[in-house]
Amino acid sequence: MKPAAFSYHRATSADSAVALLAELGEDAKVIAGGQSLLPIMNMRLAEPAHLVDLAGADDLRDWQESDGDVTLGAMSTHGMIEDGLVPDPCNGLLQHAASGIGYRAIRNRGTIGGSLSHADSSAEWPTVLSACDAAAVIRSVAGTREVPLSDFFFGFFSTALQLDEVLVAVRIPRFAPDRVWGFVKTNRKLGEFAESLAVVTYRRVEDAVVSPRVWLGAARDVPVRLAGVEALLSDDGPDAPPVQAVRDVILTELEQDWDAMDPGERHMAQLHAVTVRNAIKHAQEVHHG
Amino acid sequence: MTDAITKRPRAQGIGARVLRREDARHLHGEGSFVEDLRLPGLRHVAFVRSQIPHGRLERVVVPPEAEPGCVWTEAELAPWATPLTATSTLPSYRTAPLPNLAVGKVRYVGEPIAVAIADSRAEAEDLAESLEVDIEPLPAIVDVAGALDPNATLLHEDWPDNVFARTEGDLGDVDAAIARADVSLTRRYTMNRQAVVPLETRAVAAHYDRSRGQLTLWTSTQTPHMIHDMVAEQLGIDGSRLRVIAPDVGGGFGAKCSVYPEEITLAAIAMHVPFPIVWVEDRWEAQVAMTQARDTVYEITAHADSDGRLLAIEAEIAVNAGAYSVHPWTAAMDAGMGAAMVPGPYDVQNYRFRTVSYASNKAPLGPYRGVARPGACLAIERTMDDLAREVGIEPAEIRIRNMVGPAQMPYTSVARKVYDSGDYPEAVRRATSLIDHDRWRLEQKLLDPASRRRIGIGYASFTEQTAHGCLEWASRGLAITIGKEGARLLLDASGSFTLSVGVKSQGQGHETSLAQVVSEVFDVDVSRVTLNAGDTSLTPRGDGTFASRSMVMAGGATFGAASALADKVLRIAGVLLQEDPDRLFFHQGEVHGPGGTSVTLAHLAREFLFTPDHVPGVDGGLEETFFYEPTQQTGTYTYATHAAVVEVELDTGQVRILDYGVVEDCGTVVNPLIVDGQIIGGVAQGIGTALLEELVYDEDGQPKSTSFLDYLLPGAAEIPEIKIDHMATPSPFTTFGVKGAGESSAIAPPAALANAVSDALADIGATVNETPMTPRRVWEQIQAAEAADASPSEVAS
Repeated sequence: MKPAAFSYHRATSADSAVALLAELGEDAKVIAGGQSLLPIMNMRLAEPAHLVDLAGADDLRDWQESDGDVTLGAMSTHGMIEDGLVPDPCNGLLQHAASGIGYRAIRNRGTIGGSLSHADSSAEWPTVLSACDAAAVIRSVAGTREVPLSDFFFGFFSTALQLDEVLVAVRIPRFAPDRVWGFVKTNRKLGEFAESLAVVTYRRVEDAVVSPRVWLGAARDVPVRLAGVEALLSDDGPDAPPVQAVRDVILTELEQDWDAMDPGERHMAQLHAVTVRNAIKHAQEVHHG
Repeated sequence: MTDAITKRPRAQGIGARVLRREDARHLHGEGSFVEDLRLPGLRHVAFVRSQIPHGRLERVVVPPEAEPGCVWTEAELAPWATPLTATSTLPSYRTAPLPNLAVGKVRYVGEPIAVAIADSRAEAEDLAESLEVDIEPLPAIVDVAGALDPNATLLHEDWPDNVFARTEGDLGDVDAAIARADVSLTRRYTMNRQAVVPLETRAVAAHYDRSRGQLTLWTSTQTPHMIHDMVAEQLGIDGSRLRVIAPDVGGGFGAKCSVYPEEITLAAIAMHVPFPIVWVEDRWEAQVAMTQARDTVYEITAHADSDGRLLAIEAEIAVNAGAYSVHPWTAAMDAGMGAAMVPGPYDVQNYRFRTVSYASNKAPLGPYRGVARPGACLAIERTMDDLAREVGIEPAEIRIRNMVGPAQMPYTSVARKVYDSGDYPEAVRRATSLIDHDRWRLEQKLLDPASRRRIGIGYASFTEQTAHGCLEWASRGLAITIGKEGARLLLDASGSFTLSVGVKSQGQGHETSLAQVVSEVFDVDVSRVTLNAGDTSLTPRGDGTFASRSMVMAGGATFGAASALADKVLRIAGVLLQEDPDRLFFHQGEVHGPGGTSVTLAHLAREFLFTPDHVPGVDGGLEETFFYEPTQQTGTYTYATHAAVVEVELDTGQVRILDYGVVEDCGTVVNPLIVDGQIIGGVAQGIGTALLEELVYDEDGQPKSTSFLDYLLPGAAEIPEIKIDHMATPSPFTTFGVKGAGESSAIAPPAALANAVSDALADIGATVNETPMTPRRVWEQIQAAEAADASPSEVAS
């Protein structure tokens, strides 16, 4: 489990990183915290000829704030977010989600940009930040562009990033003061990847649910928006429906047929339903808390 | 002499809570493992291993530019090393050699095919990748149905079928007992395959010193002398030319006490290359090629009267032993142990069993903490609970009614094991109060039936054979009869002790516990006793650390050597102090006389060793060697009852442990801190077996659980606070009355937790009889039971 040989290049800034990528061509990979890439390279599932290391690019660890949003540099680690060392525009959701990513050692090195670029739908940031209507800020030698996360993920480990592009930041709109959130991760063991991951946010206006967002991770190759569950909440209010009702909506949303599923698939669907239901309950607790 | 030993209480002797001396270096990252070895010119080995579970190895093509001597296949290795064939005296047993490097066929994913050597592991892997390996796939055997199918592909083509061995027994009068039974229950239990997962994987290094004709082999092993003997034999060299060293070993649990082909292969190659070589197993290799465990199916039928008294037991046991048999345990080990342990701690004398140990395209099965006893315990203890439910009594009560009682000790079981001492029913009684049984029964009653949570209580009891002698191993059919252990104790001119033993700790704390035995005799601080273990050139012959034997065997040998040395020291002191040696005693590093005279051990030793003429009448040397064997060849019986309380979430099948208690008796406890550590560690591994760990294979026999992404181990968050109560009934047969403690607490957790989950789901009508009890498995049982409830005309699975 040792990687194949590669050349190592250390970027000193976002600009130097994209310049390196342009120069090195298609067999180069960007490394951020390395928490996903290094195990893959050690198992020789990926053998890039060149690694472009962003660790020395201090400008990627910065952040900007405006009235409407917070822009976090791609090299912000999960630990920095967990510890509140960067602003959280989502009323505490980002801090809470960060604290459940792997183990603290992983959080010390893993980054928000790396997580989004890696695009594993079982990870926290793709689903959480999609639910927050965030956008990826992407740079190449040709310039900078923004892609809403709802358009960013194409499939497992596959995103809108071109080979010569680096995700340099993520722009996150501020939550309104009355927007509550629920976040539930279901896993077999503390610290492991999610078997199911649900994010529920809405503006709580008296007893009504306004502008809900319900997103589900670890169910498909990309995070999934559950418009059917959003409609349930808008119509019926913030109380959690029974698991079976949630499950029926999810099955419809994912175009799955309960009767055609084998026991393992049914259990997974059940876990998703329970996770989403529990996230709805969690949002109520956050509201009351 | 006993007076000198027992007269004064020892601060650091038997029973003392001494902090482990070895912990300091491990907690500071200053241990010294095989991987830490630094030798000039050391080069690294990567193995080419089969990626296919079963196939004909057609050819291995070595790139022509490969450095000479850096690629080895069986063709190059064969003149220098023969494969080891594990043998058994069991009449039905079939043998097959365990190849050092594959030839003709490959029979499991991970089987070694070739060796690649380079300056670094990464470069060795590059070289390994450059070899072309042609394998023609054959159908893979993964389970008993596949193995025993009359048209099955044969793993070993000179065998008539895929069976290593079958055994059977018909004891007492089972049919008569069946005729008078009021209740008969048949149940089937599956314990799925596990990896062993020591923190340190295997590692082997070898260096041949041409100037002296000496081969040194470093290996992370529990059994250095056994490795020494077998490597010398397979290489055809004199044992005096081979030195085997096990440095710090980071866990073994049974996966490091077999003779591995990698050990033989590296030793042989080292003699024919001009540089030392090292192989450090990576985690993928460990998950596919280290010996694996469990993988058993038990079908039990229990016959009882209406009071729940067991009249007879019938058992059918199938063990998936993997592709090869390992030395010395053989592929028949689990089945033999399992069959003997099914009767458990119960007074039942009618028993019929049949076992089959079959071959499959998986890694060879080997020992793992508890060895078959967890599977046997799951089978009999789940059955006892179902029996209790059937006759309408509490599970604790049915155990007390059926257990061998203290007045019956020693008791010869139907499987001819001699249970030597203890109070099994008392352990059950204490277990119920340890977890506050009545409180949880009340909580169960108070739960709203519409709630989606359930609470359950489960017990599991067992008795296990530890530190057995030669005759017992012979009765199991092993080619070697393990039953003696050596210790050498030396007192030097500075007054410190060097204790050399044949066992090898992989975390058992021998540097402390065996030093406590010396301290019990001489009343010295344990820091004055240095332990030599693991180096065959420095230690007397011993069999190693496994089968929960070390404290009894090495402790007994240490006591024997210490007693003989103490005798001599008192005679020397008698001369120096001008006193009758029978009136002298040890106290805090000195020898004291009745009138207040004294001499320190340091002064005594220096005087005797430097100027022996000052001590006439005493033979030279201050060292004694003693070989111990147990007086009772069938071993000494450690027993326990575990109690578990769980909460089950009906919507997901998730199981949460609310409380866990252990009432155990391992005889006299030498170091309570160490024994508690063993109990907790064993329960943790048992929880892994019960809830988390499983080696999964796809339908083509490909292993899927090859990293910790898929293979889940219990971590600190999965292990509850474990309540422990010790009964400490001394064994009548061993030095100080100790019994084995290393494995026991891994035996009961799967049974206790399965009983607790089944108790929780009893009102729904669901039970769980397969481990690990993953949420999916538990939920499927709940679904099936709830469906049967909703529409009784549909039959649930």
